[in-house]
Amino acid sequence: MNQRLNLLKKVIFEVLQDMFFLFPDELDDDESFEKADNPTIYSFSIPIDGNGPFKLRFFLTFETGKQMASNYLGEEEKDIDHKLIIETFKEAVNVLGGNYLNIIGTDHHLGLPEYHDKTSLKNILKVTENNINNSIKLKIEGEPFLAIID
Amino acid sequence: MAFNILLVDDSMVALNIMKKVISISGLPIKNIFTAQNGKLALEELKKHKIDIILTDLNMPVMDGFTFLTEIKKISILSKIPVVIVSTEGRDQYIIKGIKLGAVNYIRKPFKPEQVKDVIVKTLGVEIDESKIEFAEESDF
Repeated sequence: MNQRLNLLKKVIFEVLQDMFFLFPDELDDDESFEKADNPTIYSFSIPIDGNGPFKLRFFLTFETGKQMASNYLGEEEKDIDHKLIIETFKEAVNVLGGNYLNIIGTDHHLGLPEYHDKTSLKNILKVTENNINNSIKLKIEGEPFLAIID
Repeated sequence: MAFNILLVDDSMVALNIMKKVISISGLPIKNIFTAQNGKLALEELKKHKIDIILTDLNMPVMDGFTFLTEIKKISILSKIPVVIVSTEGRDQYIIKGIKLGAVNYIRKPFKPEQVKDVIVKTLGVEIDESKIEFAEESDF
């Protein structure tokens, strides 16, 4: 795994733990999301502008989003709706992007986080297969959580 | 004496968290006003007497640096202390913020105590310890 990807993984672990009390796990070598169901995936990105611009893209399930919003906002999971998940994870993406830029030490600057349409896990796995050297596959309490440097 | 605070952040959940953190901090707060970008914050400043501003940097319409520059141009507003609350923690951003007139900098994610401590230091206020409700080591 390249250094930038390692740094992004470090930031993901820190931010998810510190802000959301969530503890991601790496996939075991023989483990694959392809064996799992095909849940709906929320897709977010944040542009990193400057010389050699790129995007950080993040993908998570409704269940993970609900848990994140609940932990962050101190609300019960039953009170968390689609809109709160989007707003919470947009803020998470902002923090992930900012903290990533803080440690890579380049002159890039952060754009604004974006929410994209929901999609299926199978579609996202196709994207990660095409970006195998730039993608991170994690699980949070068994749910897929993916990131790509695009 | 109770204080009026203006929070500026494009994220509604970030604003709500900041409001919650400040509300349970034991600080003597009269009102907490919010705005989702610098332009809307300038409108709030026309309507209310504000004692301290906490602003994000990365916002649409008018970002935090532009907002800071604008309020420093208006003499009646230029004395209001501004604290930057941002994910950006690189030196050049902190230095730029301080050069533009910010008095302090809080990096996201932050601990509730950091927000309280910065406001206390900036406004020179005393805390009512019985009203502090921070329960656990959490970052926001």
